[in-house]
Parts: sequence; structure tokens; C-alpha cells
Amino acid sequence: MRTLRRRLLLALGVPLLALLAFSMWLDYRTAALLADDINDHNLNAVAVTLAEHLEESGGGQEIELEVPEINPLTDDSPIPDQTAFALVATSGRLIAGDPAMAALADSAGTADGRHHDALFQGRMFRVASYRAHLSREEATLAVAQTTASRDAAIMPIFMRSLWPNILQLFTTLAIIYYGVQRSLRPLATLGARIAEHPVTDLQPLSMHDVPDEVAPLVESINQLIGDLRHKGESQQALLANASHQLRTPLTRLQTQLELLADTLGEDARQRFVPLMETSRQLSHFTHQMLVLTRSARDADPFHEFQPTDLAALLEEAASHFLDAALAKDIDLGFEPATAVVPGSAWLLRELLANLLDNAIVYAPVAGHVTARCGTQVSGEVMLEVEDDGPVIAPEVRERIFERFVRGADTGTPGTGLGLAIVAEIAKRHGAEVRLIQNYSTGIGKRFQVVFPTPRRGHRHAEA
Amino acid sequence: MRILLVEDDPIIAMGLREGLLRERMQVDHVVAAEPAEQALLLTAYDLAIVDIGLPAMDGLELIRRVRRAEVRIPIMILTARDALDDRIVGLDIGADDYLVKPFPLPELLARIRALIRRGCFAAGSELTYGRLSLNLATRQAMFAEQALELSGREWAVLEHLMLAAPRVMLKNKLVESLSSWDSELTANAVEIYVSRLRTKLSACGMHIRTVRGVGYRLEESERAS
Repeated sequence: MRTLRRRLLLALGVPLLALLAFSMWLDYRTAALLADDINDHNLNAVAVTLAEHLEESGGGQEIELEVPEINPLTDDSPIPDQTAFALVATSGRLIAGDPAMAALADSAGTADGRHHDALFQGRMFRVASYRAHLSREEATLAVAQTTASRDAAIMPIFMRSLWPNILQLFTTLAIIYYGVQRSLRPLATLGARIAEHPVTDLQPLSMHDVPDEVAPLVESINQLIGDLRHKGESQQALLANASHQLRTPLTRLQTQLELLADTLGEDARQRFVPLMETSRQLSHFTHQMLVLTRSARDADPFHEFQPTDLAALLEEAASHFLDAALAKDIDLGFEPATAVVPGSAWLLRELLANLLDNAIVYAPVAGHVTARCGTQVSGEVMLEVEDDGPVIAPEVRERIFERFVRGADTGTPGTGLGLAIVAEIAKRHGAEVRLIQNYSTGIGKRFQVVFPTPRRGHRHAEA
Repeated sequence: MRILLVEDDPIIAMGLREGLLRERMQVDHVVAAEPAEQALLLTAYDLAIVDIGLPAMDGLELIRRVRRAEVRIPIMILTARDALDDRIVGLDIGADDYLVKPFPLPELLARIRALIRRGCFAAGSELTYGRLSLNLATRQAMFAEQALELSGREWAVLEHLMLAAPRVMLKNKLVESLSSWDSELTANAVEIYVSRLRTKLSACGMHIRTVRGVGYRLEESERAS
């Protein structure tokens, strides 16, 4: 997971660790140089003392010299240091000291007061060279000491500077970690706020407490919300207008036709009935078109989802559909049980109305239509309408929820929009529409709408 | 019956007016909310039909205002907008029923009759449906010119059915309200009262239809099959 926090911690932590490594190396070097300096200083002191002795004694043939004790730099040295010396004349003749060291003295002889490391008899020696002025000739004095005590001294010096370094580094890392956590907290809060923002209300996000760095992001989100809202509002206005412009003339027409029908003689009335029927169909179709358009989310993002009692919708529908059922001598029945879903009552009422319309149209004369709702043991809420009309042929079954697609029996009235509306409204509620048919007898079908089981932390049924 | 019709479309208004006149109702027609407000405050109408989409002040605001002024008559809303909000807001602010345009004229008339019936009941005078009437003061049930003998429970059932008509009276609501009226009552007991009432009413050309699983509807026998 590429979180911003991880990126920041990596970007700061890795260079800091590299810096620690470099600083450790530097510390070690400093410790080594310091140990060298002290050691060289001591060697120098010995060399100077020796040189003074030599000069006083005049550099005779038998010089008896004792190399003075050199204070060890540390008592931790595993092996005591060995010391050796050589006095070499400019001519290269060994005047005194260890003959094996003549080569070292010679090579160092070009300079005065120089120090260098040299391998001698398989051991590492630190050599101090010193120019001695003997009465007869010029000579070079080389004093060498093994480096065991010097090397042993490096670690303690190094360690002394290492601990503060490490402490400083980890303190810095801790501060960075805390700082990153703390500075990123507004982002986490903002993220949670965006996640909790309800989809339906299209309110802009608050700019309160938004860090400057993410302000452009929030502003673009708000811009988007604003655009959506604006689009929704203009769609709403368009629909309201269209609705008014379509419904007003239809009302004029239908009212006048109905009034006229009452005054007509039997003969004229015969011709008039199809006219009135056409006007009613036109009204019905207009209503369905408007409902279908409005039930789509992009046309109307503002539906408020509230707990809706399906049983109450069923009871309400009884009054509305009884006469239509009686006209076909259909036994219309209801089986309302407890069923509450988050939804839009208006849309769900239209869904039920279209299912009942459909069932009454396709049920045979003197048939049966039953609407039920209830909550299953699993917690699933369902609404279904059953009729004893013929089953829908398998070849059209898949397409019946498409707009303007109708069953094979086109002799029945209908717009081909009813089931499309059912499908659209069900989708809006996250519900599934099932068609359960009795294929063995070829008679009887149920349209069942199954609503999603409410989950914990479930914000919206349509989410 | 005197009705105020508030509708700005002249052709619709003309049609509704004629339909109402044929029902022997008096109709005053205004085309805007402002004169309607005055008329409702000054005249005792039995009912008002209000179109929501009016030119200046809209129908909802009109209803809000007259309800605030304690005008208690039944109000029927007509709307050409299909947005649910209008209807809900309408009923919340004190309208009694609504119809979305276009509607069958007979449906409007039936709903208006039901509203007026409920208005009379609320006023405590008389409850009538078809040729059946309940005198709420004398507790006398009459069909045409004949008196009907009803028990207390039968009266209560009939009262509820007449108030609900032409809608379906929910059985569970009936059980509920009869129970609170006296002691606890079972659904079976209600069925028995309905059955007795059905027998008494059949002689008067009235019919109680059972709507499977939901309740009952009172019908005039011409409508009964």
C-alpha cells in the first residue's frame, strides 16, 4: 500500500540512515587520527630525547642507548608494544640500533619529524623519523613502535562519539515519525469525511480545516459536486416543465371527452369509447415516461431514502387497483407482512403499481392476482406480485425488462414500459427482480423484488 | 354544496366546473391564489379544489395561509407536477387529498364526495353514502325513507366503512378502532359484525365487498357484481 505516510517515512528515514553510516565512518576516522596524533606525540618525545642523548654523546662508535618507556595510550591493549630504533648516517651506515630498521630510517630520512606506518618483521609499526646533528655527520633517527596499543585506543574514542550520534539519529527518526503522523492527520480526517459524505444530498464538502496542499483537490471535488447538482437541478426543472406541459393539455382533453360522453346518444357513444380509451392510454404512457425518466439517478439525484413500509404501500394499492381488477372479474388479494426498506416511497409505489397493472392485464378474466410483501428469515425483504396468466416464453424472458419490449401477446393493452420502470426503480434501490414461472403447467408467474439485506455501516441502499 | 375551484387553466376549469355542476354542486372559480385566499376567508365553502401551479403565489402557499387562518374545510390538491415532494408537502401542510393530472373526472368527483362526507362527519351532523345516511345526533341509520336497526358495533363498522368509501377500509384498522372503542376485539368478531351488517344492507341495495387479505369496501349495488 503506497500511503503518503509510508512514502514520507521512507524518503526521510533512508537518507537519515545513510547519513548515520557516513557519520560513523567519519567518527571512526576521527578517532583513528586522534589516536595517531597522541601516539605520534609520544613517539616524538622519545625520538627527541634519544636525539638529545646522541648529540651530547657526540655519536661515538659505541653508543649504548636505552629506549625510554613510552606511556601506552590504553591499558586495554592485548599485547604490550615493542619499541625499536635505528640511527642511520646520511651515508646509509648504521650508527646504532636495530640493523633491520635501517631501511625504515633511510626511507624516512628525507624528512624531519615525519611519521608513517610501516610493515616490519611482519608487524605494523609506527615510525617517527628525526634528523640528528652529530658532531661528525648528519644522521637520521628512526623510532618505531608497534601499533597494538594505538589500535586498541581507537575503539573507545570511536564509541564515545558513536552513542550520542545514534541517540541523535533515533530521536530524529522518532520526531519525524511523530511529525509525519501528526501532519497527515488532517488528510485522514478529510478522507473519512469524504467517505462519509452522503451520495444523495450533493452538498459541497466543508473547506474548514482543510490543509492548503489538498485544498485544490477538495475544491475540484466540490466543483464536481456542484456540476452534478447543477445538472440534476436543470434536469429537474426540465422534467417539471415537461410534466406540466404534457399533463395540462391531457387533462383538458380527458375532462372534455368525459363530459361529452355523458351527453351522447348510444350510437355516438359507441364510436366515442375508443377515443376516450386512447386518451387514457396517452395519459398513462405520459405518466410512465415521466416516471421512467425521473427514476433514473442522473435525472434525479435528490431522492431521499427513508424507511418505507411496503405493507402500507400494499394496503394503499388495494383501493387504487380494486376497480381495475373488478372490471375483469379478477380476484385481487393482498398478503401484507412486516417489510420495511430504505427507499423512496414515491418510486416504490410506482414499482408496485406497474407490477399490479401488468398482472391485471395479463391475468385471465376471472383470474387471480395476489400482492405480497414480507421479511424472510435471512433478513431479506421481498415484494412480489403473482398472477395466474400464461408464463412468459423463455425466448422473450430475458428482454422483458427492456424498454418497449412486450410479451408475444400484443393483443393486450400496454406500453412496454411497465417492467422497465420496475427494473429501473429496483436498481435504484439495489434490489433484484426475479421472475418465477410455473413451466410445468404453463400457467402462473410471480415477479419478485428482493431488497438487499441491511449491512452494518450501510449508508445507502443505492450505494 | 358550495365549492371553490382555484385553477388557472381556463379549459380545465371550464370542464371541472361543468362536471361539478352536473353533480348539483355550486362552483365559484378563481384563477389565482390571492383572490382565492380572500374568498376562503370570507365565504363558508364546503370544499376547495386547489391547483398547485398557479401564476403568482402557488397553491401550497395558499393552503398554508388559509390553514393558518383556521379555515378547516376539506382541501383537494390538483397537480401537474409528478414530483412526490409536492404531494407530501401538500398533505403535510393540511391538504386532505391529491390527484395528479390527468385524472378521470369520475375519480375526482368520488374523492370530493368522500371528502365532503368526512367534513360533515367531523362537523358532527350527518354521514351519507349513496342513499344510506347516518344521523350522528340521533344515531339513526336511514336507507331512503326506512329506518335500519343496527347494534352499536354494527353502527361503528358501518360508520368506518362509510368514512373510508370509496376506499378500502383496512381490517386491522377496523379491529384496532373497534377495540379501543370498547373492549378487546378479535378479527373473527369483526368478521361476524361485517357479515351481519352485510345481510342487513343487502336489502338496501348496498354491498360490503371483502378485499382478500386487506379489508372491506362499501359499494352501492350497481357497482357490485
